[in-house]
Amino acid sequence: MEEIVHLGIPFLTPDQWDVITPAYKDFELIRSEGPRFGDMFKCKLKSTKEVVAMKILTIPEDQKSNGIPYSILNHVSILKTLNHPNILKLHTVLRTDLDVEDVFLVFEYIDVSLKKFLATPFPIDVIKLGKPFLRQALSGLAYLHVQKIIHRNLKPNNILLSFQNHEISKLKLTDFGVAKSIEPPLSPYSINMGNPCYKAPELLLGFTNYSTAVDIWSMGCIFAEMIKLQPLFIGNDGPKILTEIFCLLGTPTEENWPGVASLCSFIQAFDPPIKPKDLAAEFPKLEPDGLDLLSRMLCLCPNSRISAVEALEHPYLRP
Amino acid sequence: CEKLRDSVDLGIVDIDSKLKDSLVWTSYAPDIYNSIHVRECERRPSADYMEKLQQDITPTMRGILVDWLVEVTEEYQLVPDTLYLAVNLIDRFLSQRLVAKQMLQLLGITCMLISSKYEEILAPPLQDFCDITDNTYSKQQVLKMEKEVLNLLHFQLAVPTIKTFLRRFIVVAQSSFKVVYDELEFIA
Repeated sequence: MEEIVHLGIPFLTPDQWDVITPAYKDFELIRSEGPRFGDMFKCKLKSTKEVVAMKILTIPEDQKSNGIPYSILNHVSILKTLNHPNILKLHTVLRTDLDVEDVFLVFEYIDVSLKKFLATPFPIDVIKLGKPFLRQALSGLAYLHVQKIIHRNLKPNNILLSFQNHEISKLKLTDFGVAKSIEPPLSPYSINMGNPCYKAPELLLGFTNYSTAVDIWSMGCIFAEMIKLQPLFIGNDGPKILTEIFCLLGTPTEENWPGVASLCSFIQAFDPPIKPKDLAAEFPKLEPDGLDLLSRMLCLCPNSRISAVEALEHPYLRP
Repeated sequence: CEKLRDSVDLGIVDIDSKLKDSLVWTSYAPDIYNSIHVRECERRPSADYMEKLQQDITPTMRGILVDWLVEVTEEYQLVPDTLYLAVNLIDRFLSQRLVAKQMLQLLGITCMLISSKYEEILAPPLQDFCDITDNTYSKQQVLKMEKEVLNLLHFQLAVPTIKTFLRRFIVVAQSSFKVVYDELEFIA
């Protein structure tokens, strides 16, 4: 699940090199997430010297006989729909000739992911950067949700930042590999994608009728991580994360999450329910307005969780 | 598309507030439908490509092709969304590229393959689509055509079709009734 960081020249097949070397040069691997999601590398456009990021989507061997699979059709068509300053811009989809089956995506290039930024030895000034970060991230998210798209895989890895004079000059959401375009009335969707650490409780509890609120939860976890400088909930699998969530925020009850017990009977075993911890004690650095927003983003019940548009109106983020 | 934004204020009955699985849906629904309207305007096929661009094919041939695709939909029990999207892809392709008579069916079946992969939970394999043309076209031809269609349309498959709006209009049409007419669901 974790990002393997090894810089160098991307590993490509001769056919793939043939497609990209005529127009691009100076290749350098920037992130690798395994063959399914494709490596991302930066390179220079020969004609304009512009630096771009490229990602190659390969068709799994067992799906080649049916042409381009759904995962790629969905991924690229979602990227093609999006146009917002806080979403990584897809420049082009490279036309491939007949022998190469892969799809080549060319994006704008942004320096670092939030994950890398969090790993730098210099502490972040959350008091200063927290607000502009959340404002930009949430406006990207609000745009996505209005386009009826759920990202489903938000994590520090998928938020790209660039800095100017110690201020965030650009913030871009990226990686729409498992994003989903939703259609009313909502139908059941898969709950198996995404990093468990940033997964909303309704997903961990196995609800398939989820919606845009899952992204808000992930964003809440990421915001908390920026303050704590470590993931808010740590664990390798769903049950472990769920335990961590309940320890911090308490177990859901019929009062704060109507219908939870009927959908998930084991909740009733927590009698009396676990009491939520005091967030102010957990995040001493955060001002009261920030705490209030964080608690609304990390609201257990998806129906009561704040939406991206509402969050942008929250006192903490008002200029 | 500017006018569409104003239409929100005219809303009389809030049909979204009744949705069972609303979640955060209620607050987003008007914005979502506005953006769908805008996208519909942006990705509309041209209305006069038959007269202006195409030389070999005629409106009648397109009609025959669509009728045949309806049969394909029934044969493989595909959802109507697949058919609507396929027709949209065909029209958008024909708006930009000259197509010979012999290639029209290939275009049709290829668009059907793409849209079935996009819309269906379990899409029929490529071989089924070749079979239904009585193997007039080979798998290689369909795969080549798929690439051409996707390149020309820049992978823009997220287009609103008739069905996107039909579902909503049915909800609107029923908003003043206490009893929901299930029959209407069948046309969607």
